[in-house]
Amino acid sequence: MLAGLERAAFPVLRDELGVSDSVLSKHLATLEEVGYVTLSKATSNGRLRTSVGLSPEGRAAYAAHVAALRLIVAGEAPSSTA
Amino acid sequence: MVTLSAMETDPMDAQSALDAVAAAERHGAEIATSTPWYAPWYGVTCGAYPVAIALFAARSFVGFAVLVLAVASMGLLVATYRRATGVWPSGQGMLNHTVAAVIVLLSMSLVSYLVAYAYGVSWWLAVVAVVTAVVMALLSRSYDATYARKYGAR
Repeated sequence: MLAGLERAAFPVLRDELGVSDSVLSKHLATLEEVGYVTLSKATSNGRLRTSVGLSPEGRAAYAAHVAALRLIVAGEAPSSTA
Repeated sequence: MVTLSAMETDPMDAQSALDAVAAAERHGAEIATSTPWYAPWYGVTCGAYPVAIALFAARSFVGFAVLVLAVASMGLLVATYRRATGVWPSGQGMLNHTVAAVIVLLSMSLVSYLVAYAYGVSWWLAVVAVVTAVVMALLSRSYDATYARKYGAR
């Protein structure tokens, strides 16, 4: 979802993924740790609002992942598997 | 280096993953283009800029007030959009629309300045404002349509 967006609000991602706040927070923390996403927190009307965006590294990793999936669907082997 | 899980190396599972990716991107685009009020508001706000420029050229201080209102309107538009949708499009692959919008706004502002400087302000300014507003609103709608098609939302 973030691939086509500059940023998305935390509740939008949560609702799209159908997970709880804590689950999403945990995964986002991990992704932020490896540099794939950036988290921005801002206060609005007294409430803390978090937005999420893909970093350049995250976009590159996502694009590579999608490209690898397409190779598999096309019947070709990707460059690396685990 | 790409690392895939064992499950994703199966073509059917890989296709399912791609389908999920496409669905998420499509939904993101649907959310981003779900505000029919954005284009008219954007158009009217942009229409104020050549008015402000013309008033400046005619040495009217009202131009400053118009400019302040236009800038405030644009800021409010962006904030309202973000609050309503929770997203902000990246603009990637939409350079044509962005360039077109900049060209239209700069051209209309330049024309307004030159005509106002030479002949002063009169009814023609209203025509410039309306034309600018309509063109910019149409560009905004076109942006939404192109963006939505890009991610399969329409």
